[in-house]
Amino acid sequence: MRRCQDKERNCSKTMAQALTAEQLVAGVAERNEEMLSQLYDQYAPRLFGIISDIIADRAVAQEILQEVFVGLWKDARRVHPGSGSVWVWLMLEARARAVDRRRQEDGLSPVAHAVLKPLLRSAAWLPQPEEISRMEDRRVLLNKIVHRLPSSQHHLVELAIFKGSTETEMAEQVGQPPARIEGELRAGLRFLRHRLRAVLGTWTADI
Amino acid sequence: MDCRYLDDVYELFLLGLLKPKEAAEVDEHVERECPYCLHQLREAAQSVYFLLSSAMPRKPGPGVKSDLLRRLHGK
Repeated sequence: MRRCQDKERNCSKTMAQALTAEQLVAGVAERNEEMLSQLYDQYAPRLFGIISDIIADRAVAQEILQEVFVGLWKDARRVHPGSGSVWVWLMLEARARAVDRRRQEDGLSPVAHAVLKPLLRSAAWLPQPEEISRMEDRRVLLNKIVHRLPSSQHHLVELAIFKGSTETEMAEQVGQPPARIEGELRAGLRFLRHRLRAVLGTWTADI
Repeated sequence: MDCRYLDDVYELFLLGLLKPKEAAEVDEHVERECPYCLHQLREAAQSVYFLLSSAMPRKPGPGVKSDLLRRLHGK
């Protein structure tokens, strides 16, 4: 799986400490263009990396990047600054828009973006910025965990994340029965979530 | 309510890849602010974040930002 350079990541982290994404989004909600401009400078390269992994055409990928920020401009008041990681939200938005565009170009129906909008009702499901920061501190260990996935599961996870293929579509693509694909993909994702939980110690017994 | 039967689907829900019936179930739990589902969804969002953040950063073209700021004036 592709890896972001540590240097780049640390740089982005240091800049974020100057003014957090959550503070910048609060500014964007007040129609502050300078805040949007700063947010773009901090996050556009990483968002564009995600979009470009999904969409090969650079011009289309750039158009989608703009759409992410235009969407934020419109929805900033609903993104609940301070209640969850804006960065996670932006990544999910970028992926969803890119996946839906790719699917549209392949003659498939959009699947991803429609799910996200209703989730703006509440930010309780969004990780906190501190949780993301803790995850970044343990990235090396977490990368090792991802590489422990069996190659077939790893491949399916990549198809789900970067191609936006449904389980049925994956079954057709790899020539396996849908039930088997469903089992493998879900086992892979479950494995990652459980290992992440163990590494980050996020499970609370009172739930 | 025991929501453990949904344990395998939270990432797929966030990715928009669940079958409509399963997606509607998760959505209903989220709407009711079910603590178990919200917690699982939060962990799933961390997983998805981690996987997505493996993409290498790339620089968009120099005109993209100025075009964007121009577009915002019309919004």
